[in-house]
Amino acid sequence: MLSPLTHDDPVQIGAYRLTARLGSGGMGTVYLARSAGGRTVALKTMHAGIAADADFRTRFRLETDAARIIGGHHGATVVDADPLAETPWLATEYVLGPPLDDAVSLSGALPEPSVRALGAALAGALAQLHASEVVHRDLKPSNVMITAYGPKIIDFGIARAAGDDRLTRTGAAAGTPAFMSPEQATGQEHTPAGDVFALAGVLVFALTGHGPFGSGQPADLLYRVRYGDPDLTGVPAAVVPILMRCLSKDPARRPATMELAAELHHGQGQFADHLPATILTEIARRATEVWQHQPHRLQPPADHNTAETIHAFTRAPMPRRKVLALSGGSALAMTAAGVGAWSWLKSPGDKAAAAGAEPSPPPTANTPLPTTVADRRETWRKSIRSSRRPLVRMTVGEVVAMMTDEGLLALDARSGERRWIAGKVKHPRHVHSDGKRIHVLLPLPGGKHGNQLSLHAVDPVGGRTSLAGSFAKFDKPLQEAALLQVVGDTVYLAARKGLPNDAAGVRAQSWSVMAVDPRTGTERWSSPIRSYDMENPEDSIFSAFAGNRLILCRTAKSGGSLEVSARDARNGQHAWDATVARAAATDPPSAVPNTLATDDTRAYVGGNRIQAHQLTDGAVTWAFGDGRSSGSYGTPVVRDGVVYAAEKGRGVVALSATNGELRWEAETGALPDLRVPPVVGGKFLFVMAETGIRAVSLSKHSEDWSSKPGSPSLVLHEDSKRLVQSDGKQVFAIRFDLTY
Amino acid sequence: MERAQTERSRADTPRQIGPYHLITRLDPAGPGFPPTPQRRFIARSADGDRTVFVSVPLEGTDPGRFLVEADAGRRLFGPWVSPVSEVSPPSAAPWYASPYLPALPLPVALAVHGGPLPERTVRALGAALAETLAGAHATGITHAGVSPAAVLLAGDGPRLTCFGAVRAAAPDGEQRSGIPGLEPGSLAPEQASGGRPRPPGDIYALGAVLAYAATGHTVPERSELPAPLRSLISACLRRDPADRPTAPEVLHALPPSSPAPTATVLDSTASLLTPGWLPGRVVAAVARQSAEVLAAELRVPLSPGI
Repeated sequence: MLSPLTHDDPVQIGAYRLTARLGSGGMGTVYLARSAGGRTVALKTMHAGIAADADFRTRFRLETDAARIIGGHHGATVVDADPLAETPWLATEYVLGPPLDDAVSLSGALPEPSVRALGAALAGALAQLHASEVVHRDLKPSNVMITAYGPKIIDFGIARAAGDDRLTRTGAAAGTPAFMSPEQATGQEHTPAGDVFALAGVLVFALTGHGPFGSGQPADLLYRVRYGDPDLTGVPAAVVPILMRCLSKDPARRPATMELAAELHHGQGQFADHLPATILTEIARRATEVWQHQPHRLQPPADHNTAETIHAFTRAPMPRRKVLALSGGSALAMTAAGVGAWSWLKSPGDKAAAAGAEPSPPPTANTPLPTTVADRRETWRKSIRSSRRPLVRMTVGEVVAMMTDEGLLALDARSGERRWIAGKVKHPRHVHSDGKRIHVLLPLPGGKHGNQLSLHAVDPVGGRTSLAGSFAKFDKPLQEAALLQVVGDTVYLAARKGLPNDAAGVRAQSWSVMAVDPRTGTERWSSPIRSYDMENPEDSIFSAFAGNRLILCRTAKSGGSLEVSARDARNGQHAWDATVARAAATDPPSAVPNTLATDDTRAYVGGNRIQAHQLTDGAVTWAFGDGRSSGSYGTPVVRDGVVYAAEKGRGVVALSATNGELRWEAETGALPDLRVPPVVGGKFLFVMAETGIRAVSLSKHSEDWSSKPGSPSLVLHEDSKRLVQSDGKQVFAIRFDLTY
Repeated sequence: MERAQTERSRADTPRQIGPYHLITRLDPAGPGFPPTPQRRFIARSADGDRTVFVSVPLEGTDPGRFLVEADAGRRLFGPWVSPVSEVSPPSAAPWYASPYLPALPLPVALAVHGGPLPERTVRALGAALAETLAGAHATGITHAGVSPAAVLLAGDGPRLTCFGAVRAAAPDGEQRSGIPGLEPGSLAPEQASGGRPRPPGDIYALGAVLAYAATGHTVPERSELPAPLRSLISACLRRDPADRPTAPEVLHALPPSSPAPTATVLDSTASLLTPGWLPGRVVAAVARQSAEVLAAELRVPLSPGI
């Protein structure tokens, strides 16, 4: 499919101007491109980052050589190539036809005559390859393009050898060893007879829609490939014997390619005579579409602007263990933007936004959705409608949830599909999640006055809300309450005490944090929030709950320092206070930390240095950063005894949570964005930088790959191996488990 | 035979027409192919960005009338029309251009298929042409150029070209029979004798085109025609214009009778252009033409004279 170029695609590669994107995979991107003389080619590139590895560059060169050997009859004609360029590229003819996996999903299993003709042509292609002493090693449906004149074999072994499962393709074959030969599955040499085995698998797939060893977990498949009998259910009886011979475990018993070709097909007629109408139609469609495509380029994401300052609401990677971090929902920021017009988490510098004058982003329907992924790892992208940025986001179960103008929206983390929307939830300060559950504050159904609040649990699967507490005795209005934490049978809220029409000065004094029994609304304790200034957009509050401490974290109005105060969660007694200075007045105001990392014993904060505070008494256990040139750190995260934080101008540091010793540090290829706490997942530490996500290997302590574009928020959904980002207008997910 | 339509321009053809550099002729030359009223090429702009069909008048024909008709052809609309997108400026040698899409002239399609096209293809072709003519006639336009060569077959449906070829060949009042470029079997008797082209003449030509698609020639014996289409095509070819059906009537008659509920008349063309409407070898030739034109590289001279 032809898709528009993205804003960061190059204009030209070699002598070829890019006109469209054809696809994106683990190794690189394939473009449609045009020479000065108007010749249209498919231009395959290898990411420069990967090409830096000599092995991959060699493979790219080998693939180019192999493509030249197979030639234009059985493969895609090689037009031009530069395997030595910084971004190596290979220009071939643009093949007019669907890959076999797409063809089968379009028209279903192919009729026997089609498959016989296909098999004979493929066997002929392999014969030619083998005669040149090239073995394909990765024959599978997605590597066989069906043109009107016969199949063309593309993508020689390199992709699979590099562990790429062709992200852009779906289908039974993609990313599975379903078409591997037994000798390949056991790590032995894959000879020409191995290609014959794979070819038979491809033909079984064409005839039945499934490979001869089914699908499933790679380990199961490999076992079946090695020891199991092939499943030829649905294969026409006349071709079973020859396919069985091809699928013999013993390479010596498999037929030679020319024998196979002769046995499959008499060689009469033209290939097109044997193709089903649906595939012919698809070929014709592709032959025409390429002429109707108008080259164009997607605009950069509207909010993808490093000058834009946003207080991230992101939370640390969500706890499998008892590591409590601030979730977005517990964040609390208060700005007065007219009566009842709360501006959520606006950055201090964002005056227009603070005044509520920010133009709304276009509604979902008007936001052009890219038809292609902007990045090779990107798996989905959704437009959302949100006039507030950033969004409350959380991952619970299989969804990632966020606050939009429509309400609390949950997207399937795996697919990006909308799972549910809780439309009654109007404000992010009414939402809290601990990573397992979502709680929201809603108007009390049938309450005395419309603004009486009640607590509801949200089912992360279907989005249904169920009443968890009616707050019968609680007299604070919903509009002036924020949900901080839900722990056990206690709800921690921040709410304004006093009357709505108090003078502003009184208001500033009248906010309290309180523990409430949600069933009755009875206050267990209440503790004033000192001189809280709701007029000041910088005065935002975040909370965490750890070690029987309810910790509030505020960006104070003066000097931008970070104030941390801890209360005993059982009785509200003030336990300790701490202040972390902002590094320098010249630092971007958005560098103010806004989430608080905690583990069972300490809270970790970042500013001009990274400090660890004892939860019990607030004592500084250790501090890191004095004497280092950077002098500015982003919000840390803590996981498994290691504290990670972005370091201004350089990259990331990893510190021992116990004593603050530097475990390791890594530079990132682009300047880290201190607003966004790093995310720990799998083998990588993900650091948001100005140009996108940088994945730093946790074992090598160096940057491994990067992904564009960046955005001011980042959360991780472990089960689906997705990193989900949002810039407020779009939400997009990339897979982070891909290795090369 | 299928190579004929993409054969390299011969030495006697120009290398450039207007701003376009020629890639190949569209029509095969040679006996056995019905005449084309224009010379047609696939060509490309010097910057490589635009690929077009470009047409020039046959030698010895009136360039003025050619241009008038080309310009008037802009008024013809519809999904099955190859639209005139550009006409040569005054005082230049005349040409006009249409956006390129991979398509075979009907005679070439028969050649690559190896004979007359299946009835299903003929019906789809007829519906597309009848739909286009019905639209034109309803707005007072007569095409006056329908002939086998004027019809291109693209992957998604036919495209009608050569608007006004009959009028361009000879003005009203002059005998038109025997004029080079006009396919005699597609010329309604009243037009051959110099009559002003009117809608019934288009219907006659439509009948001739369908006859050609179904038999390989425009003046078939009645018995050669496929039985289900025999009476319709014969009706189109009646000598008396008043006896011929109208374009909507032809359109209505083309979908095969089916017990399934049928859509409105306007949708009938689309209902015939479903997968399989075009024979495999024709699809293959269309795809090959696309691939070859995609692969064509202009060798643009560095400066004039080189």
